[in-house]
Formats: sequence, structure tokens, C-alpha cells
Amino acid sequence: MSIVESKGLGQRYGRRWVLSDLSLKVSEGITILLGPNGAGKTTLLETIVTMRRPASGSLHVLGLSADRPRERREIRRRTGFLPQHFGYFSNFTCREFVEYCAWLKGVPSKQTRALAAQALDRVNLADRAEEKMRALSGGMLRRVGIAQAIAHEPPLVVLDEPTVGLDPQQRIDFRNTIRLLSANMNFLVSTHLVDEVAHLSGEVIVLSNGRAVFIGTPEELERRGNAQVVGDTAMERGYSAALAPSTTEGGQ
Amino acid sequence: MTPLRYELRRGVIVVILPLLVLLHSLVVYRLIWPNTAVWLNMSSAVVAGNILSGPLAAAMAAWIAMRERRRRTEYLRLTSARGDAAAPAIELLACVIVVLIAYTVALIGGIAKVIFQATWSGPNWAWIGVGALGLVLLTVVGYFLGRLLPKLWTPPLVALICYVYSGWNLGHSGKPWAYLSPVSQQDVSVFRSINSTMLLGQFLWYCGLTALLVSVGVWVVGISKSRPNGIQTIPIAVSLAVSTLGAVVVVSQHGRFLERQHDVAYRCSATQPVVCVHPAFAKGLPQLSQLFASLEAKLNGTPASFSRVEQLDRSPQLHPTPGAGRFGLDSLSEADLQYALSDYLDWANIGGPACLERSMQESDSAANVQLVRSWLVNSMAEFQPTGPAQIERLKWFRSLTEVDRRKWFRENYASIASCSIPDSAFGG
Repeated sequence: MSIVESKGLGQRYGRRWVLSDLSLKVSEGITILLGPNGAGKTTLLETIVTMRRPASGSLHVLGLSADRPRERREIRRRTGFLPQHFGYFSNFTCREFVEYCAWLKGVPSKQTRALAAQALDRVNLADRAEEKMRALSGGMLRRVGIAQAIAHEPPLVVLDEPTVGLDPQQRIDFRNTIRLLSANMNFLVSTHLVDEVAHLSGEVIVLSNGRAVFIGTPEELERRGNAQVVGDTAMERGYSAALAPSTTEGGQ
Repeated sequence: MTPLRYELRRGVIVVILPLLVLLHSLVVYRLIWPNTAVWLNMSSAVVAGNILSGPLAAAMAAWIAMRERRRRTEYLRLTSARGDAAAPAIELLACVIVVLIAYTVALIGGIAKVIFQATWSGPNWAWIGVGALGLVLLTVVGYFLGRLLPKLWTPPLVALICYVYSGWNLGHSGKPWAYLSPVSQQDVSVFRSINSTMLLGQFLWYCGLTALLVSVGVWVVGISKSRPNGIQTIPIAVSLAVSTLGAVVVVSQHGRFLERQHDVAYRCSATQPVVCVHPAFAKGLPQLSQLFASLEAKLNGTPASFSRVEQLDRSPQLHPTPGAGRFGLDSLSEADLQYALSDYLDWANIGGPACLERSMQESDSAANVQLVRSWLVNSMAEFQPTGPAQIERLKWFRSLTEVDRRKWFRENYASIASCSIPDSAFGG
């Protein structure tokens, strides 16, 4: 089953089309959305979590249409989102913030506390639950960000550039957390760091100029780069090959 | 509700709440008549407290409305399964709750100041409620502006505009449109009731405008992320109609906030002369009786003599019972009790405002009348002579015995009443 399916999806800012005629299917598990800056990754993710309405084409998330108000609401209930610039209320404690987010996701007030505690526990922040958000390090904040995204136990969690600004150790911790959580949830993670793919992914989508130029497994992406000389690793070479104009037809 | 509880515990609200209480209470305490416990005055003071707490409430709401931009938390609103308006609704609700708590605390303070000594009636709940709605309206306006202009200077600007507008509007009190403002300071009189039609108009206007802003806000949020539909415009149309109706009702009252005089069951002294006061001022009756008895003793034998005086509003439209004199009384403070005598003398035309004006223009005879008045109202010690000649006249007048002064007063009453008593009357 496809977690996300788009057909001819378009999205624009004013007259500039950021996504155009984007057709893709995202399978269950962890999917990495790869692409250079300005490729349209954030716009696509924001459209998937219904922050933006599709300007053209169709988008189905978890089998629900992103164009119908009731189904959009249901999509919101069933998705979690960590934006690239993770905004939070600095004077809330971690628990309060996660509870607040869970409530916004439609969780009844009586259940928010237990779910927030569980989510913080899952990201190894149970002992920091009562600390103010402003007291946390960058890595911990990302973990709270994940906690708020998973607190309502959504089938799909969307993470936009979650490892930006993290040091190597924090990245490793972060990846471990995602791997553990992926046993129960599907993840769609955007990044412009190619090496993330090898560590996390079951599936890779490479986006360039608002179009999917590759959809496949990490291995397929590596193979794509066999003839490419740009890049230090096989994955980087595959990525460069996917972005090259001659390969814009995609990897499938 | 969990999020609301957390919103209410947020830093800015925790800091602002006591400040709101302080500012509102400050106005209330300043406007409550000294030494006097009158519910109507307390109600008026609580409503007028909006002049300081209103701008602060609006600024606080604007600041909270900007949080989404400051904290980059737009994603929370736009991915909320409870709808795009859920997060703003919680924020706005928290602001409204805080200002209502502040208003209620100030109200309780006002009640505490009055409750043990009040002798008449009770709080005007309708007016107090409308005042609370005015404060809520200011809060919603502030929130709306904060959303519209999420800049750092927005909250102070909102506070400034709100304060300046309120001050300007108070300066135009009495104009038909002045009562559309959510901030009003109304001088009250225990002899007049509040115009209930005006209150109804204000209620509709405040409610309608608040609902209009909220529904427009919800609509704007709605159209930005999903297709608008006709149902969303119904609340806008209804609230627009309600606010328009309210505005029409308010303006149609032509600034008449107080009704005509209503019948008063006076409380009167048992001794002569009979002094009658409004029941709300009953506590001042013993002292007033003494003061008026002393005045009557001096006026005895002149046309200004009286056997009954009644407290009344200073409005010239109100008249005492035939045969009775009248006086105004603003509060039961020493100064105002004393001033009641002056007020009676004004009414009896002994050195009244016209004469006082002449004394300002350095008319000797008018200044002489003021000297006599100071004796009548027991404040000769405070009389300020304007020159050496008047010092001499004061010295002469003081040298008389009380009996001689009264005799002298009766003899010179006609020229005193006509504000033309010559210098020669003071011992040649």
C-alpha cells in the first residue's frame, strides 16, 4: 500500500511553480526525500501534511484526499510533522509542549498526558520531561520535535531536514531513534545530506526542480552512479547521476 | 482543557495579570468617592478602570498573537486536526480569561471597599457586565492587530493608540458616538438611573464587534487553506448585523447615559432644620445636620433661612420639594460635606458663581461677599485676603462677637445677596 500517492501534483508560490506535475508513490517504512536546496522538498512535505493545498493534480495521504476538507482533517490526525525550523514555546516544559501538540492533533485532553509521557520516553527524554524547552540543547530539541510529531501515534511521520545543525554524535542518536520508531510508524524524511540515505532508508526519492528524478532503493541509486565521476561515495555518485539532465525520467 | 491551562501559565500572562489587576484597581480606587460607599459609583469606577487596563490588555493580546511568527510555530496551527483556528482560539481565550480575571479582581476590590458601608441599592451588574465586554473587545482588537501586523512595535503601538483614543473619546463625552468606545468614564448621580437602552446598545455593539472580528479571523484562516463556503459567511453577516444594530441604538440615545430623575425616598434628620439626603449618603446625615444647623443659625432672620434642605443632583433640571432648599454632595469626605454648605449658598444666591467671578476680577464688594461666605461656611481661617484693605476688613469682622456678626449679616443681607456690599459696611 502507498502511504502517499500523488498524480500530477503542482504547487506554486505566486507565479513560480515549485512542484510541477509530480507523480510519486511512497511506500511503507522509512523513505528519504533527497534533493538540493530549492528542489521543493519542504514544499512537498508541507503539502503532504496539509499545510498547503495542492495547486494542481491530486494528492492522497494514507488513502485520504488532501483536497477534501474532512479528509484533510483526518490526514492531520494521522500524520506527525517536524518542520525544518522547529518552532516551540520556550517557556513550556517538554511535557507541556508535547501535550499541547497532541491536543492540537485531536487527542482528548484526558489522554494527552499519558501519550506525551510515552512519546518523550520513546525519544529518551523522560527524565527531561519537566525541563523548560529553552534549557535544552539542539539535539534534545530535535528529539522533543520528534516526540511532538509521534505523540498522537500517527501512522505517518514527516520530518523536514531533521539533522540540520546536529553534531555527528547527535545525528547518530537521531538515526537510531528513527530506526527504533520505524517499527511502528512510517517515516518520510527529507534531507540534502546524501549519506543519510545509506543509514536510514528503505526507499529514496530524489527531487530536483520540483520533479521526482529518481524513485528507488538506495542500492538502485548507487548503481545509477556507476558511470558518474562526481562524488566520493557510490551514493553520492548515484545522486549526482540522478540529478543530471539525462536522467530526469526517474529511477523506476 | 490542558492547552488552555498551559497557555494561562505562560510567562507573559503571569506577568501581565497582576499588572492588569493593579492598573484597573488603581483607577477604581481613585474614582470611588472618598469616605463614601455608593454602589453606583463603584460600578462606574470599575467600568472606567478599562482606561488603563484596556490598552495593556490589547497590547498583551497583540504580543501573544505575534507568538506564532516569533516562535515559528505556524506549523502547529496549520497541521492541527482541530482546525486552523484551534491554536489561535486557545491563545485568544487565554487572553480573554486573563483580562476577565483582572476585571473581576478589581471588581471584588471595589465591592470590598463599598460593601460594609453601603446603605442603598447594589452593584449595577448590567453596566459592570457591559464594561467587561468592552475590555474583551479591546483584547480581541489587540489580538487581531497582532495577527495582522506581527511586528515588535505592534504591542506598544496598540497600547498607545488605545490609550490616546480612549483619552480623546473621554474628552468628547456626551457626543452621540462617544459611547461606542469600549472605554468610558461616566460621572454618575444617585438621583439618576443608568439609561438601560444605552447599555443594551453597548452590549449589542461590543458583542457584535467582538463576534465580527473573531468570525472574520476564522474566515481568513479558513480561506487561506481550504475553499471557503457560504456557511462561513453566516456568522460574519449575523455579527455585522448585531454590531450595526448596537451602534444605531447607542447613537440614537444622543449621549444620554443617565436617565431623568427618579423618585427618591429621602433619609432626613429628626432635628431642625431638617436635612434630607439620598439613602446612599445616609451615613453623612449626623454631620450634615450639625453643619446645616450652624449655617441656619447664621442665616436665621434672612430670606436665605431654611427649615428643610434636600440633597440633589446639581443639574438645574432637578428641583427640591417646594419650600425646601437644596445642596449637592459629591461624597462624604470632610471637604465635600463642608462644600455642601457652599452649594446651598450658591443656590440661595449668596456669593454664588456670578459673584465669585466678579471677585476674581478684583471687585472689592464681591471679595467682601467671599469674606462673609467664609464665615458662613466656617472657613474664615482659610480665607485669603487680597490686599491690605481687605486684611483690615477681615480683622474687623473677626473682632465682632458671633452674635454681632449675625446681627451685622441680617442688616447687610440685601447688599450681600446682590454682591454689592461696600467696604464701609466693615466698620467704616
